[in-house]
Amino acid sequence: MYFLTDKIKQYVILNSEKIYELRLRRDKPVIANIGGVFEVAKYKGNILIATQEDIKKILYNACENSMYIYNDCIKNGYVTTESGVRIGIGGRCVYNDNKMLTISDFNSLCIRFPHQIIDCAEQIYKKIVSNQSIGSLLIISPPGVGKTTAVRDLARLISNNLAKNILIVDEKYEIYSEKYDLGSTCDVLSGCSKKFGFYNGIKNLSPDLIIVDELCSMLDADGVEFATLSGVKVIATAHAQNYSQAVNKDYLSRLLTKKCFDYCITLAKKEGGFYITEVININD
Amino acid sequence: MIELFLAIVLLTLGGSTGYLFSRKYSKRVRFFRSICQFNNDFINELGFCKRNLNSILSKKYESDELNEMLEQIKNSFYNNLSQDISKTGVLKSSEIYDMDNYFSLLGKSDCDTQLKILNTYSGIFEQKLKEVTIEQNKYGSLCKKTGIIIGLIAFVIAV
Repeated sequence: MYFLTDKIKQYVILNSEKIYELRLRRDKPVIANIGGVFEVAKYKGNILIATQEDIKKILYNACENSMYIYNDCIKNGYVTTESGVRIGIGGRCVYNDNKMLTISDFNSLCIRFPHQIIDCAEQIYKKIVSNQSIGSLLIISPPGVGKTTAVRDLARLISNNLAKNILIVDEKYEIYSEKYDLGSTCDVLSGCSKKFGFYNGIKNLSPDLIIVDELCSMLDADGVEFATLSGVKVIATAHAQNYSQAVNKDYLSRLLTKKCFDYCITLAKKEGGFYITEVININD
Repeated sequence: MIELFLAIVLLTLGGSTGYLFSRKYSKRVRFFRSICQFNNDFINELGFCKRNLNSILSKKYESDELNEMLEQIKNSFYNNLSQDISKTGVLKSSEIYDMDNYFSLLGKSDCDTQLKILNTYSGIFEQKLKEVTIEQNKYGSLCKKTGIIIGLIAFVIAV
């Protein structure tokens, strides 16, 4: 929590077990998601107001006062701290010759605190594993339900139970952090594009399974297809409300039509975690 | 015998005082040589490893004054304090102002912008190093010589 300002840090420490998200908007009360419920953050009875200075300071601290390292992430609207806390950034986008240079005049932050919930993905694990072999899986849900938490736990379960060589392509530094137990058979490529992760990871790290978060473009779909055609299983996540919505996204539709996944599982939020709402066996 | 002893004492005293005054100039040379080195190290970091500012500030240089300054900046970052560059005693007030500006720009922008800033300061620091080296050659040895002469004069007056 080194990156937070004093009062906000105290609030987060007090709620550290249950806090999922913190939203700071310039000169507005700080809103926190505590155990799935949004509330106005208060410290010693006073409502916490996020100032421009707070927002700036938090972001600079999260960037270790080294914006030159993080600007590529800032351009994409986020920063992930060493401990895996992802900070979404609102502000003024600066362009030069139609090329985005950075975001400046930061005016809002969405800080998401990651959690490791041991065995939260056990139900998913049981559905995709049979006779020691894994099926490729697409997990879909709206943002904030727990897809990343689920894939993190799946990595641990598969690593511990099946000892498969797993490659985690962690583009946004969200899945892997030193503090998480991901088992002993995981390799991690952090901060690289999914394209690099799929093509170079398969060539150099010879994984049995690739785990990747948030598919969101045709380029990502190319990577998944390449992995499938290379005989490597894939566990991926994507944003959608349900399966019928997911197939309306061209890149997901392509992967599902070509049967790059064996299963598609939809998740929904419940207090303290998530539950499975839909399991589709693509091969049926 | 007493005269010889007095001569040694006064000459040593005068020479030491002169040496102490001349140290200021050699400290300034060391400081600017170190800041040039720091600036170049930062440029190299941006070109390859891109370690965070804290790691770069942790490196030690020839000048104790610069090391102290880097330590102070490093601590103030982590304590969320505003930067407060100490008056080292080696720098003039305009130079402290320049240093304050320099350090307040570090880490605050993307790689290309940082490189432009560092390259600009590279020229400024190299120029400053030349100036303080000339200053040291001119006044450093003068201080020592003056000290010895004052010692001699004191001896003559005393005897």
